[in-house]
Amino acid sequence: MLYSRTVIIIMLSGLFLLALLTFAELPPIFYDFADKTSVYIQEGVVDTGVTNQVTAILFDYRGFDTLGEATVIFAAALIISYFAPRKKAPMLGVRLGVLVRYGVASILPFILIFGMYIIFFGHISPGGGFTGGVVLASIVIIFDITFGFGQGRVHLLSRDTKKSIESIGLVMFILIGIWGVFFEGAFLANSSTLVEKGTLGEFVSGGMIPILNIASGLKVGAGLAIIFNNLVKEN
Amino acid sequence: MELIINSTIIILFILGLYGLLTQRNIIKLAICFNIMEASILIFFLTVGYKPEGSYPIIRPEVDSYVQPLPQALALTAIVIGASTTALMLAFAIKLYKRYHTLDIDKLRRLRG
Amino acid sequence: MINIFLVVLLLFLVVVGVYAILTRSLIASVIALSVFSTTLTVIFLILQAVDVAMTEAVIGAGLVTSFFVVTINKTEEN
Repeated sequence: MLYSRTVIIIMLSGLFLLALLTFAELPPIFYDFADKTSVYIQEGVVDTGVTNQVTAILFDYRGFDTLGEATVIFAAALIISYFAPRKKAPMLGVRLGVLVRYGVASILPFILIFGMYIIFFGHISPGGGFTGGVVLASIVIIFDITFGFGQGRVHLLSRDTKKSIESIGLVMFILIGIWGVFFEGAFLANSSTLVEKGTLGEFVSGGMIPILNIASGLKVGAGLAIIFNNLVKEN
Repeated sequence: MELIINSTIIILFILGLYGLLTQRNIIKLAICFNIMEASILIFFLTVGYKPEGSYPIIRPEVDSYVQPLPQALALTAIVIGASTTALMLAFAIKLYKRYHTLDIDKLRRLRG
Repeated sequence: MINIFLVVLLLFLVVVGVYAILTRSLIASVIALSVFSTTLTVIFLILQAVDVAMTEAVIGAGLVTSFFVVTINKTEEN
């Protein structure tokens, strides 16, 4: 055991030196990439009509990648639900105190507003469908940890509701993509035929990007909530 | 400055690799995986960074921005990393339920 | 000034990572991973990646930690 650990350390220090030499060959970190390959910065606003360029890349230039990512989450949720047994197992032995329960119940609406704000304003401010979706998933998770165990358990959303929300998000994403095929000439092309383009920097702007934000928010939020619930249910 | 950031990235990656090779608990392996992933994220973000650049939300009064493409890739990587971590942990629970241990040496000796 | 802060944060990141890997206690390791993610959030913010910082704060420090805690709860010896 000791011998093998020594071998591992020697090999990893060799790898460290090799990586250091490789990094020395790379272009310097503070190299002006942004000025030399600035297609996204210079033309992104005109192309997409949103000011947040990360959202523009995620949902317009590389929308197909985002669809693949949503599929990965879908597959993970599917596999974990396949593992989970039908009967529920308790996670916590004790019921949480009254202060925790009322505190959580009074804080949840604000988390809901925060998550929806992040989703709806994802195209003109930091945030977007993924972050907001995870915030929405955390509502379900917190509610289930607080109220979902022990006697008198209550769940915020039933299993089938969560599955429907996830499917609605994915189907919405794909339908918008197919709409792009028919009216704009490419899958997931940002179309202004369904929604008007709006003015730059306002709430209504960017064509389809806010709707794609909402779709991916529903998808990611419901998917992660399903994953958590099935992890808890394992016994 | 560059040397410090580069060596931090490499040290974190090597650290995660060391953990993956020496630790025996499956949950510990998932933690090592997360640390390796974090080093890759720092690398992504430093590629598009420049000191005078601002965050990539286009405003009229700013004319120098960092590159948004590595940030979009890093965002994708984070969300996928969370779901793969959840998958690893689900496998860990399944293994524990069947063999009542999480030690990979003992699991290897059991052989089904 | 911001460079010194960044160097301190990177050093802290390495220290927390070493602790998370080498400690014996699983729950201490998971909490160290949560601290690791929070430090990473500040580093992303210094690197001007606001979207990534928000996502890392929500997912890395919150959601993944809850996944790990649930798993440890399910698999501990009793």
